[in-house]
Amino acid sequence: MTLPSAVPVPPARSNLLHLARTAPVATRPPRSLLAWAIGAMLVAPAAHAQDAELRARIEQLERQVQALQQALAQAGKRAQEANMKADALASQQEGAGAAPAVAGAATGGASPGAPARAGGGLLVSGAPAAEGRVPPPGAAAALDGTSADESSAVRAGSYGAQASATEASAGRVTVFGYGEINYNRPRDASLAEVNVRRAVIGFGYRFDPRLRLVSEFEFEHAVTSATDPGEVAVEQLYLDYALVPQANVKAGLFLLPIGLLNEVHEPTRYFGVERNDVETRVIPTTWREVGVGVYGQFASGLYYDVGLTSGFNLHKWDATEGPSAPLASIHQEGARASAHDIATYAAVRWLGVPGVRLGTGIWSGRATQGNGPFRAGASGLDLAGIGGRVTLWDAHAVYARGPWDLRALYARGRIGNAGAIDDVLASPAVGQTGGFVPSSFDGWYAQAAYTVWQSGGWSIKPFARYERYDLQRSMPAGFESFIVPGLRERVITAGASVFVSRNAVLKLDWQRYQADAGRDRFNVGLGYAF
Amino acid sequence: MPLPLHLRLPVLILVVAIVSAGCGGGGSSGDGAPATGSTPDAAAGGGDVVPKRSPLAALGERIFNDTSLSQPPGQSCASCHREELAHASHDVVQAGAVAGRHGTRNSPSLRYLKFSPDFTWTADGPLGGFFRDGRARTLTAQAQGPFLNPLEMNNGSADEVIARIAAAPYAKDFEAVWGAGVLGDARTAFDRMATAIAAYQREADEFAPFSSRFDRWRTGQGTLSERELRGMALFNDPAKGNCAACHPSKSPAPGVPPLFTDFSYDALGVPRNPAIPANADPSFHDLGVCGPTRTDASDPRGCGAFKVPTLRNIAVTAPYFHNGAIAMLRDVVRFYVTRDTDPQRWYPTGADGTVVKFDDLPPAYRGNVNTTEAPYNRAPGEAPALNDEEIDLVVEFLQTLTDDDLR
Repeated sequence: MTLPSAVPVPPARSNLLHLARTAPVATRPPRSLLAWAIGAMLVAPAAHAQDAELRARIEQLERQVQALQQALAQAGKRAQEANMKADALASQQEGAGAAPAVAGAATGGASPGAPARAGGGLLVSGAPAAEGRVPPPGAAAALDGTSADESSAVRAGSYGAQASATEASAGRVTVFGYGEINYNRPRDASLAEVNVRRAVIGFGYRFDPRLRLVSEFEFEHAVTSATDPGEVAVEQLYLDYALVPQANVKAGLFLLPIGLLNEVHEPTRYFGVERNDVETRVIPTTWREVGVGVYGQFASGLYYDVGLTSGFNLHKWDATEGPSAPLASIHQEGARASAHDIATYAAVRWLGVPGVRLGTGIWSGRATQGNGPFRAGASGLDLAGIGGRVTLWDAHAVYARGPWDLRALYARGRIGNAGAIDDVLASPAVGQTGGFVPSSFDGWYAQAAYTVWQSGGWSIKPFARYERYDLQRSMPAGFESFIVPGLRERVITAGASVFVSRNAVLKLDWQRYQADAGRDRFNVGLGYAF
Repeated sequence: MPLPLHLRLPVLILVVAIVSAGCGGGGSSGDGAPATGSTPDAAAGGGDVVPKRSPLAALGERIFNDTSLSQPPGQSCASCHREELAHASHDVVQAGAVAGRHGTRNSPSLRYLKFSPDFTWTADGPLGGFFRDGRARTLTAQAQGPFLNPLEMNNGSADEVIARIAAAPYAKDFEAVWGAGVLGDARTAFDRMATAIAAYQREADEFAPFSSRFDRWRTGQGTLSERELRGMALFNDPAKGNCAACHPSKSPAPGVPPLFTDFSYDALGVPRNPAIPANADPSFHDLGVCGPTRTDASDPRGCGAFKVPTLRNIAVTAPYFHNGAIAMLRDVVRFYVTRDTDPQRWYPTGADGTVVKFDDLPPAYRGNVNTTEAPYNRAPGEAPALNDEEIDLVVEFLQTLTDDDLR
């Protein structure tokens, strides 16, 4: 007689999990009744002995599940508390135009400014909209024209906290945007202009609680074609990975943490129809580079951001545009950027007191790109052997408490070897007769704003700003005479922001240029952000 | 009713700021363009009209007019580029600083030259650049050339030129612009000198006044006669004059009036001019882009091609073409339309009785001459693209391109 080959055989050792799988032999269909009988006789004693062990193990597992459920509930509660703290801190920082509340985000922190927007905006898929969030206490006290509960920075800060607490948010897509339509009327009214200055749309995508994508796409000047003035640009495109609350890594095309406006530039979040001159002509807002950075915030309120990025390209120096915006004329914006030279940056901010921000940042890198653009025939400037290091730094302070919003900033840029570069520009081979590269340029401003009236989403905030800048702070030897008065300027701007919603604003202001009165103008602007 | 206490300060700030913004005045009205604006010296100089010059351009003007900078002294840039002749010359070729020497080409007008792009080779051939053969890539490089040309200002070296500038009354201005001690470095100073001359040409309004009757008509501030308008239509008509093919009458860019040149190069086969001393040697041929004056462009397809000049002020810049072969503007237009229909009118007849077309070029390069576009694309005996009346109309239109100061 031949025994059936499928007769169950007890395990040689007491592996519970294995036993659990093999123990219910009776449920297995026997090949025949005889085989079943023989099998039952063979395994019965062992099964009986193991049943007690199995029951004990099941009870143990049940206890562990119960403990885990309790831990999860506690974690959710802690996360909610962290979320509330993040909101509160972010609203304070929002008022200060500061970095979002990465400290409150257990994971998935957000970098300052626009990265924050990746977590906010319109939810188009995934978790329930807004995740049942309510505005934190004091949200309405945000002073720079945003509502704390809806503003991008707050959204980002809270988003991180939410994401850390619930995996339901993983994989969700968010949409955000902002835009502005401006009217400028100079003294010579024939030069008045109305312009759809920019319309921006961005998408955020959270791959998992730690990893997210931030993207931002900008349309400037309404129409872009070969014969129209418009411009389409990828303003941000990077991945952000949360290591620990104090350290997040970003890689891709991101905004540099220099100044106040560069990272936070929605029209609802700065005063004046146009962005201030210092942060457009000295700091080339909106300034972004391709690179990698690490940032985070400590409980003490210390925020940092350091990294490596691509840099400027002095081969692009333009004699007409260059002097009036030295760095804006040589930025590359990740558009097939020459990348021989790698730059470094570092920024630190103290955000320890709600509504107060003290910060400084520095960026430095060579900008002649190994003379590659000349050797490739893309440039007529032979800058061989010239390093041309560009360094830009700033220091700023914000006090945004109660109805007041006070800000001050100083920024200074330096272009190394400017004399050697200008020698090339002035050479007969290039033939430039002006518009030479300065050795240094700087500027500062002070601004005060006050909420005179507020009701619901409506508010009125008059402001005044004084700017002073010198785009030819120093010229290299032999080129000192190429000082142009209009590049050494003082600007007074006074006006008001009238918020008709927390994220929609009507702005009016008057600007007076001391050195170049032809630039005096009256401005009206319409802005929004969501 | 007094303002609430918490409102007083911000309102005060706002009022002060607005009052401050609204008060005051003055300041320059410049547009921030580099190296422009009145100089303190110029402003203090008195006179009815103070030219708007940067210190650099003011320096360039002095160098441009300085006759002490040749060897022997006596010739300046302005000697061959006289302002009253649209910064050109009426001589077929200019006498050099050295007695008995002459150049080989007619002095071109410097007006509107600043709009020329730097020299480049394109898929369609050479473009931009300076001198009639484009051998100077930039306006600055061009400014250096005549100083060292034995047929022009005849300095032996940059050191020689700079030594003369160092002895000139404006030497201190030179160093004020370019830094103390710069004249001690002749090589650098020679470059800086050229930059100053180029700056003068770029900044000074007289080099680009856009003050012609055509400009006033174009901007709605004046009128052209019916005949002048008919002449312009013939000028533009691709089947008639087709002049605008190389001398566009439309604005090249926003804010820039029509320049009447596309800065390209063309071989026209202009007749040889025996009035040029160098042409006494039958083996001498001025081949334009491919030499012999230009030494860096040997592509034989460029042989015989010269830069297309602006037609602004063409009525006052006779004689015409690179070799000054045609003295009258009417004959220039006639040459264009009858060169191929009636070649014996312009070219000599050989021993065998045939007309030697394009006789200023060696036979090997006569194939480079443009014969495919209107109005050249016609055979002997055919009617020219413009009849005598139409030639007159085109000339009348060309006369509207003369700047006011030259009329």
